[in-house]
This record gives sequence, structure tokens and C-alpha cells, in this order.
Amino acid sequence: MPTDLELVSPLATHRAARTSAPRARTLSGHIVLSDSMLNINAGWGELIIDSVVLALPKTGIHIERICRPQIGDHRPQEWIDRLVEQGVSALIVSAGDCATCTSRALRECILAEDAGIPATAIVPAGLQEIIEATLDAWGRPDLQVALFDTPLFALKKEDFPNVMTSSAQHAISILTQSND
Amino acid sequence: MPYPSEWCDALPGIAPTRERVNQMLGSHLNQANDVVASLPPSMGQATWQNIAANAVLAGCDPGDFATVIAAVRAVAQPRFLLDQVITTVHGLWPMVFLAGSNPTWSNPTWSMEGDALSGSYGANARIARALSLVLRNIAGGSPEKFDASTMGRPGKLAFGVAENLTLSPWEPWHIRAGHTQGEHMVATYAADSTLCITDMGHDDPDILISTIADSVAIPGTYNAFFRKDLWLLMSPTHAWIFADAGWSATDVACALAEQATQPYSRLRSRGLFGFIDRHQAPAWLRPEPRDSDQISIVDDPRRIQIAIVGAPTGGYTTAVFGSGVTTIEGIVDAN
Repeated sequence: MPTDLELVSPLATHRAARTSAPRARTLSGHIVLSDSMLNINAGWGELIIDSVVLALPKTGIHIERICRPQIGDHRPQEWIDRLVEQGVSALIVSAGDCATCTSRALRECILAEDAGIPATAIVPAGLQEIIEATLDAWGRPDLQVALFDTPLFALKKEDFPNVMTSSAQHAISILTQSND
Repeated sequence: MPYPSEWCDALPGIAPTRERVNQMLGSHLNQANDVVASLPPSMGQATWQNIAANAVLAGCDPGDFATVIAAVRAVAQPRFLLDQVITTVHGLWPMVFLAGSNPTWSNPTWSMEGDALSGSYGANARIARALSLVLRNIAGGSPEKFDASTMGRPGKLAFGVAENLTLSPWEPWHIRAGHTQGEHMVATYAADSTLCITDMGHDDPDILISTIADSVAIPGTYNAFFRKDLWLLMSPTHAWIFADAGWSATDVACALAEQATQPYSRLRSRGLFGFIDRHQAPAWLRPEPRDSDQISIVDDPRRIQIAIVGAPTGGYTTAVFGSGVTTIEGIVDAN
């Protein structure tokens, strides 16, 4: 092809190679539940994680709940390295109506999986584009996440158990599926 | 010649043919595949070649290329928080500021006099557009991917600014920022929408500073919460009112930091204050201020960046709000 008819792509072609973490049949050991959503003053972030706690097995696990800031300097790899050092066996990250938090939460999950920790996120379906873009660009389009359909601003506190219970159960099932 | 529509914004672009891209690369042809930066949030690798292809699409002249490269390096600095700028539901996007001696390498050169912020002439718009296309195509910054902006902002396609050194009463911005005469530099800033502040009909610097201070001390900006950099693009008329009264640019910044304040009671349930929780809050909110405390728009007068832009006539200062810091990169091999 003559050079004056050849187009040069302006796109980036590199994609990082990622791996998925192995799954056990049941959850056990040290489970980290990270609430990374905004507006915890309204109690919403805690309510998402509350639903996960209720859906988890009652024995054989140690639950650690944390709130991890998602605004500002992120440095997810450093955090994941610490989780590995602590022997964490599974990670669930929640994010609210914040696109930056959602994308960063997914990146944390991908890095955790890369480090051998089964991980998933509970994230809003309304941010589907950024969810797909993050999973694709970060080399894990196959990573399963638990979605909730209702925008948080439309929810009242008493609505949360109904909305989040199925998402929480889905998140737990993602972490216990086999990789086959 | 047609090209895939997803490569470009909604305006027509120039097809990045091999011949045009090689011309853009110039002496960098032999390093076409070298990585200039990895750009979050997609962590796409920006190479000399794909940056050149975006510069062609944006309509750049080969003389613009070194400036585009410097702009890419500036937004890639970790402290710019590029992934946050792109993924946020806010309308943030980089402002490209040409700092240093008046450029001679772009053809035509940058606009810095009348209508300078509009991008209606000169190299400003095409260089800023090239950076926007790099972010779209390499970093993932399109609405179909990582850009979750609720409504964006005017000027997001291209916002390039150059300082009018000829009409400035003060040293150039980059000298005041600690760099040396003769350096050519690009500064980038995660900018929100702008506000044109009008003040005319007098030559009193105290009145003028109070007008600017009262105009920027408003609760609904990201500056009110994060208190990081605030850019003021000042017309020569405003700058000379201060300079004729013996004020330096630093004096203006210090006076503004002191006067552009709001009581905490006016802030604490407004703007971002009601949305962001205690875990995400910046350090200055821990411990929480008292209601009567006066909160400045910046946490340090050095956050206020003043540059002289525009034509001699007209008393205006354009405030460029934003949420972050200014990053700077030198322009290498400009000529």
C-alpha cells in the first residue's frame, strides 16, 4: 500500500496481561469488605456493606470492614500488596454514584485478582460504560461484578436491604464460583 | 480520506496518513514506537507515533508537536491525577497554558491578544485539541469509555492559553513559578468552567481586588472544597491597575487569598461539602473548622496562578476554577 493511503492509528494498542484468582467452594479466612463510596454521612456506604455481612457465612471467616478513600492520590497496588501480606482470602469493594470511585474500585479488584485474592465489586448499573471500559482496558473483561439498578440518590435508608440483598448475595457467589 | 469516526471528536479532523504522521514526527521518526507516557485510567501507552497521529487529526502543524509532547508529559505526572480528571462526573479537563518566551516555532503562533481564550486563531486550539484527542484515544477519555462527566463544560474540546508578555507589567508566569528566563514550558491544570469577572471605570486596586475576591469566593466550586490551584487570566488593564499602584503579582495573590473567604457556616452543607464524607475529606477539614472561621478559597497564596492574557482595552479577569494542581513540563527541541 502506498504510504500516502496508509492510516496510522491514534489509539493505544497495549493491553496488560492479567490473571484471575482461584476460587474456593466456600469463603473462609480473612474477608475484607471495603466501602469506597461517597456520602457515608448518609449511612449509605455502610448499608451496602451491612447487606454483605448479613449474606456472608456466620462461621469460619473473619470479617474486616474498612472505608478506603477514593478521591485524591489512589495508589491501589500498595494497598493490595498490604492485603497480600495480611493473608486476605477475599475482597469485596462497594462504590456509589461516583464514577471515579467505581472505576478505582474495579481496578483494586483487578489488582487483587492478579495477586491471587478473589475479588469483586458492588457497583451501580448506571455507570455501565465506565465499568466495561475499566474491565476491558485493565485486561479483565471477564471479571464479574454485582450491579445494583437503582441510583442511590433515589433511595431512602429503609430501601437498602431490599435493593442490596440480591447484589450482596451475587457478590458472594462470584467469589465462590469455580474458574472452570 | 476517511478515517474511523471513533478516532475523533465531533469536529472534522485531518486523516492521519503515514506521510503526515511521519512529517509530524520529524527528527523523532526513529523513536516512533518509544513510550512517552502511560496514561491512566486505561493505562494506554502514548508513543511518539500515536501522539503524532492525534496531532495530525487535531490539525496541528509539525511545529506544534514538541508542545503537544510536553503537554502529554505534564498531564501524565502522577500529581495531576489524570485518572480522576477523566473518570469524574464533574466537567474537569486540562487547560493547556503555554509558559515562557513568546513562541516562534508554531505556524501560526499562539494567540495571546484579543479574543485569545476563544481559540479563534493561532495554535492554541489545535494544540489543546491534540491533547484532548490523546486523552480520548490513548487514556480512554471518551463518553463511551472512562469519561463519566455528567454534562462536561464549554471548551473541553480545546482550551489553550498563552501569556501576553508584551503587555504584562510583571515577570512571566514561569519565572514567578521558579523557572528561568529563556525556558519554554507547558503548564496543565484540571480546569472547570471559567467565570469572566468585569470591573471597569476606575483605577483603584482595592476596589478591583475586592471585586475579584467576592466573585471567586462562592460555595459551589471545587476550589471551595479542595482549596487547590485557582487560575486568574487577567487582562492587561486589570494588571496595570495593580502594577501602577505598586502591587506585584505576589501582592495580588496574597491580597486575594486574604479577601476571598467565606465563613465555614456558609460552606459546610453546600457544594461538595454535603456530598463527600469524612473519610474522603481533605486534611484541612480535620478537625472540622468552627462555623465562624473564615475559609479562604486557597490554602496558600501560592495556589493563585496569575497570567496576563488579552488585548490592551477592557477590564476583565477570567477565573479558571478547578480541583487540582498545576503541572509543568519543558518543551524540548521546540525549534
